[in-house]
Amino acid sequence: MPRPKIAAPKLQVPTADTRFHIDYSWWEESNLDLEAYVISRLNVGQENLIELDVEQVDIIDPDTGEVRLVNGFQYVLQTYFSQQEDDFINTTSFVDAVFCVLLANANRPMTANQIAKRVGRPADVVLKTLSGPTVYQGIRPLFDED
Amino acid sequence: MIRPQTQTKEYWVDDFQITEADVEQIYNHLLEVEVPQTTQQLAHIVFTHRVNEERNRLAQKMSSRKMYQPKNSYEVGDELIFPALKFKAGVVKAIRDGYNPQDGQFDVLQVEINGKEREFAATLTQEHVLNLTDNHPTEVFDEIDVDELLAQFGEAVMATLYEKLDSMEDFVHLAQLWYVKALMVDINIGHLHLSEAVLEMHEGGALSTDEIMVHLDMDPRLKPAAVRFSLDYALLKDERFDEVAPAEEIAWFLRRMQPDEVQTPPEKLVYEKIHYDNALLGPHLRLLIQELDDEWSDLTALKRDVGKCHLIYPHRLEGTLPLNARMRSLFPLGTSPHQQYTLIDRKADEKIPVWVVQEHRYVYGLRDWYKSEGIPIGAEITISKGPKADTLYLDYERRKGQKEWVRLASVADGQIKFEHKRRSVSAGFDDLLIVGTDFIAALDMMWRKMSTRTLAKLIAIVLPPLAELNPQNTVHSKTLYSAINMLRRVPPEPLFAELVRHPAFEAVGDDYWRFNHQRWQGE
Repeated sequence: MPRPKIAAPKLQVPTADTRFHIDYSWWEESNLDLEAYVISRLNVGQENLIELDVEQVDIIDPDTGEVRLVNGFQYVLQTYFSQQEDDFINTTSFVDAVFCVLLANANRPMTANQIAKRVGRPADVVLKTLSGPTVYQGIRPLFDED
Repeated sequence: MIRPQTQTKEYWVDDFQITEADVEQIYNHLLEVEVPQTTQQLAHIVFTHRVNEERNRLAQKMSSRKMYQPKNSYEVGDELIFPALKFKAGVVKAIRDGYNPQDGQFDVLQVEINGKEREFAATLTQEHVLNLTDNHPTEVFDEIDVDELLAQFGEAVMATLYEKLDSMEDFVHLAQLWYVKALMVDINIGHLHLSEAVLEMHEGGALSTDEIMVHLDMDPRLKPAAVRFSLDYALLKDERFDEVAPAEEIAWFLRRMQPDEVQTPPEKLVYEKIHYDNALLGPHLRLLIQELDDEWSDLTALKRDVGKCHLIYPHRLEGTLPLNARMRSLFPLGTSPHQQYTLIDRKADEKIPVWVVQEHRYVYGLRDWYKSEGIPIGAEITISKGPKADTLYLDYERRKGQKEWVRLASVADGQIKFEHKRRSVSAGFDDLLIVGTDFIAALDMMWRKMSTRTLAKLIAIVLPPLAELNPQNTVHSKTLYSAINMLRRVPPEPLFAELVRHPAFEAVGDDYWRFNHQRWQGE
């Protein structure tokens, strides 16, 4: 009897053109607190964040019209960072800077090349850091998401 | 934003493959026009076909679906096309209320796309890029310029296309010109014999394919382009014929009527590779190597309208010019190993037919001209762009036969000797390179004897007698290079590396060298 053929799993290797985003479900599944991280590590004072009286917000992608549901705090964060200059890049660690850059882009996915330009590091450094087995601050690659 | 896939780099460069449908289009096109086509023309067909294919596919998709726009309202069950998601199709499964402080209230459509649920905004009152046009999505294709796509992505597509067609038996090609086998005109052995006779009558050639074709009595109903391609193809496969035109032209010559020096390189021009340690060559020696510009030096070809070279003994003797870095770009080389050119001596208004022998890096056919003009070793020859691609101007600095002190080599008792003598020289020359001789036969014998000697031994034979001409008992690197090449073809790199490496050769500054007899081990 012939052996059954097992299809090889499709491995997706991130490239410089692979897009990355902050996967908020990573924060929800981890025992880390996003609010505490932002206020302590990124030095964002509570007073700088706008008050929002809704729990969830629908963010509309300006290119595709696609909607992403985020909680109120995530929305406030994105709004805050999208209004900031890029100065925070110089005052934070590399991974924190990438986190801020993605937030400043309203967490719309960005390629390693695009991130590299914003944080002033080589694209291969960005790619190696964000594609490794360790997920930093919920930053993950997106495959075939369109 | 509506952007067809056929307008993206990912489509034409990253993911591009030639499909059976593309090949069918190309095949049908060639059958229809019955004229060979270039790779670029065939790529144009692929671009046009792919753009039309995408347009038709989208039109078909759109026939029963609506185009998604965030400003519109939709109902459960509506089938939508998403222009910003590569025109993916989806079905509205549910609708819920949506909100954000910036856009206010709107609908959120829950849409199933390829089995996956995704959400999209609807009834949006704020501006959105997808609301900007109400045109039918296929109208975008009317604005696509295929020539522009070809200019942008053609290179990658042509490379893939070439590879694909080359692997298929149905297609034949000559360089970048393609045709289908089924349409090839039958060129029989009689036609080939006749072609040979025609070329023989014209002293071997060169004749263009059209000039040969008129003698072949082909069926006048056949398309000339098809006959031309088929004849070129048959001649190329036949050893008797050599294609000798510069790049992008075709002309034929009978191989057996070409000069021997075109078929086989003269012995004195053949460089048998000598291994050396590249690290021994410092920046100063590298500059000197660039200045000498030997055809066997590994220098990048310079794109210039004027090329220059200094003649060394082997080239002066064989009537050749080195195809060095400064000369190469003036001879646009085709795919054939030999090309026929015409050099025009501007002053004498004399036309000289020459052969470019690409593989062995020389231009042959100047022996008589060197002799009649009295061109010495060390003379500077200039080649400049001419009236046509295969016609160039030839020049040198003309002087009134002045008497000059020049180095002359001779052979006595099996040893090479050098002396200074006054000779009439009527051409400008490099004083460090000039080394003449009246003893060609004796030097020939010595050349053969030297063939088994090491390079160090060769230098040890040439350097001491050459140094005797100088009160300091030293020899300049350029003079040594010129003199060594009277006994063996040696480019400057291995020669200079050996001078640096061997302790018997002492650098005394300003590119001069001295032979130290005490340090010579007699190898």
